[in-house]
Amino acid sequence: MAITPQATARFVLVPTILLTVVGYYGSILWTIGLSFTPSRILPVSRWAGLDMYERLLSTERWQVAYTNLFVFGGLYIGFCLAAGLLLAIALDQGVKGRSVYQTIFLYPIALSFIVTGLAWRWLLNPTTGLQDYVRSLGFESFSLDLLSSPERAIFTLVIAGVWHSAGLVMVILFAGLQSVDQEIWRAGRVDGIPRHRMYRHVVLPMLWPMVVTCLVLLGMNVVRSYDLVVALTGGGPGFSTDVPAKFIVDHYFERQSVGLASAAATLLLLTVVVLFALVGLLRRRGEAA
Amino acid sequence: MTRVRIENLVRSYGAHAVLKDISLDIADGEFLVLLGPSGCGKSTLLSAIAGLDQVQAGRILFDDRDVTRLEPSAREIGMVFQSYALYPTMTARANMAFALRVVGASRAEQEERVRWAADLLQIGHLLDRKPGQLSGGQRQRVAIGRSLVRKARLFLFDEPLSNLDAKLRTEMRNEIKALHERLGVTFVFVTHDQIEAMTLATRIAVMDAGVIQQVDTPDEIYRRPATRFVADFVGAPAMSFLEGELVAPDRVRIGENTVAVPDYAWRSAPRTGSVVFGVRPERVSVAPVPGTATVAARLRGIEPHGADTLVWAELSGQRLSARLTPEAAAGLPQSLHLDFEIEGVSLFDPDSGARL
Ligand SMILES: Nc1ncnc2c1ncn2[C@@H]1O[C@H](COP(=O)(O)OP(=O)(O)OP(=O)(O)O)[C@@H](O)[C@H]1O
Ligand SMILES: [Mg+2]
Repeated sequence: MAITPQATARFVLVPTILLTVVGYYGSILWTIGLSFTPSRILPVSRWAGLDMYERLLSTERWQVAYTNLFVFGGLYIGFCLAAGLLLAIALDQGVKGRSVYQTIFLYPIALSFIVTGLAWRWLLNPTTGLQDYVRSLGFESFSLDLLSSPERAIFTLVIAGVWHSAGLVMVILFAGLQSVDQEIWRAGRVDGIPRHRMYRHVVLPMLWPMVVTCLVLLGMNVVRSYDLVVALTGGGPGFSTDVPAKFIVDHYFERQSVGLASAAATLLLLTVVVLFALVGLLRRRGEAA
Repeated sequence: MTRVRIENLVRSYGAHAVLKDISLDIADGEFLVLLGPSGCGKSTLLSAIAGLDQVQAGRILFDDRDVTRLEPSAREIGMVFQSYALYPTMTARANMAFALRVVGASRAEQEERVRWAADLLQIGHLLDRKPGQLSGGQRQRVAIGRSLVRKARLFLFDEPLSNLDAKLRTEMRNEIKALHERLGVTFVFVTHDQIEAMTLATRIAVMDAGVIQQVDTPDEIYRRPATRFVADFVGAPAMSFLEGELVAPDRVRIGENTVAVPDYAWRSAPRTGSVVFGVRPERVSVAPVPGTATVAARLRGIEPHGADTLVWAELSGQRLSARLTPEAAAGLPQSLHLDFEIEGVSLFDPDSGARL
């Protein structure tokens, strides 16, 4: 029997497919299963119905973490898009030394969230960071103490996150702006359309698919924001900056509540699925538009 | 209604001069075609007229008003681009109405102007589609429609037909011509297609390497090209050029042959000396027997084109072509006797390329 190239290709892909099916989807199913058990340190297979979910929803720490997902996610995505777009437009307007700025703003992306978190932790630390530096310049009353305030610590996550990711949005949108046919701009000039209206009514709608791409990339960062939180605030003060991912990891591995953690993981998965379905809708609307 | 006057326009990119001291007058209501090979500066000149490109020296006047420093939108022009440059996320209607919307025209006025342009171009049924849902020809119409909606006194077209297939091209060409007659305003149209230029223009400006070589009616350009470049560029099949010598003002010697040019319409003073003898292929015929005015040539090849046949011949080592009917071209002997009609002959100075 002759082996066709297609058969070879399929054969080579088998390990990958197995890994995906067992590793990803298998784990997901297992987690969902565990969320209906009262497992503590080790998985048990006793049915507990929705007990874990009830416990989870009444846990204050989870409520904070889940709310933070949206506070952090909304602000992070919003500011990243806004800053990235403004930077991209500035570059597109032909700022001198364009490639230098591009490199500077893109650089943070090369760092992991861990490094980003640590760097900002030092920077925002009252005794070693910016506050100390500004005071040493003679402004004795200067105070920059975001990290120790439970209400404001979440914003340090946003600041560090935006610093990290705005460059990515900039690069993607800048590529989009550059691909806009110059003749469209010329047509706008002949028509007497001011630049800002060209951006608003013509160019940005053309960039819609790229905005959605940014949304997806940033959204994934929000969901796995675990490392940024761990490095920058450790979830504190208290658990004021906790996020679902950190809640889940803590409960699996430190607090030995596998059932509760699984319920949290399942809820997070559900949230992500719903959000991504919304993004899919947005994308389809963009295509129809 | 606009007269356009271009005075000593200069535009260069670094050391590369793209427009070299261009002067041109365009009369009110004229259909002027800028014709020239790729890269000769046609688009640059058109952009300068539109105000999309700054010029380094010279002036542009619309009806005696200096517009050299005015923004395009202040020049009251309509422009159609080669890539159509429609706003891709807007419907055809929104594309056409956008300029009016931005200046705050009322909905009724927008609708009325769009209607008028759409009726003129027969695109009423396409108004709710986006550019991506239109064919090339339909996009072209919408682009023209967009330029019509704002009241313009001068229309500029930059190779608007070059992305269309041959049949659609002919159709749009006729439509643009009809539009010009209907609107009665000045059109400036850039192309490198000589058929387009010949059929559309009231006058053609032939450009080469940033210089206008000749501005004349299509007929004049074809029959009395001012330079060898124009003679070569305009006309298909192209004019044949033979190097020769004027032994007398009415006789050209080409190799061992002598061609009589008794009634040549001299542009400069008749002279003798070396010359380039140009002749249009359709003005060359094959005589059955040698006569006093014929020259001897050898048959080199036959190219049937359907309606007529191009016959290649060699005359004293130089090639020339004759455009014959298929019947006349059938069964030609190896040695030919060629006859030239004086109306198809142009003489050029071999150094300057200027018409003699
Ligand atoms: N932005 C620019 N920078 C440098 N050179 C340019 C620029 N724009 C045009 N040129 C040069 O100017 C010359 C004329 O360009 P232009 O676009 O006017 O040619 P064209 O006659 O319209 O040609 P085509 O028929 O190919 O459109 C070309 O040699 C081109 O390389
Ligand atoms: Mg061009």
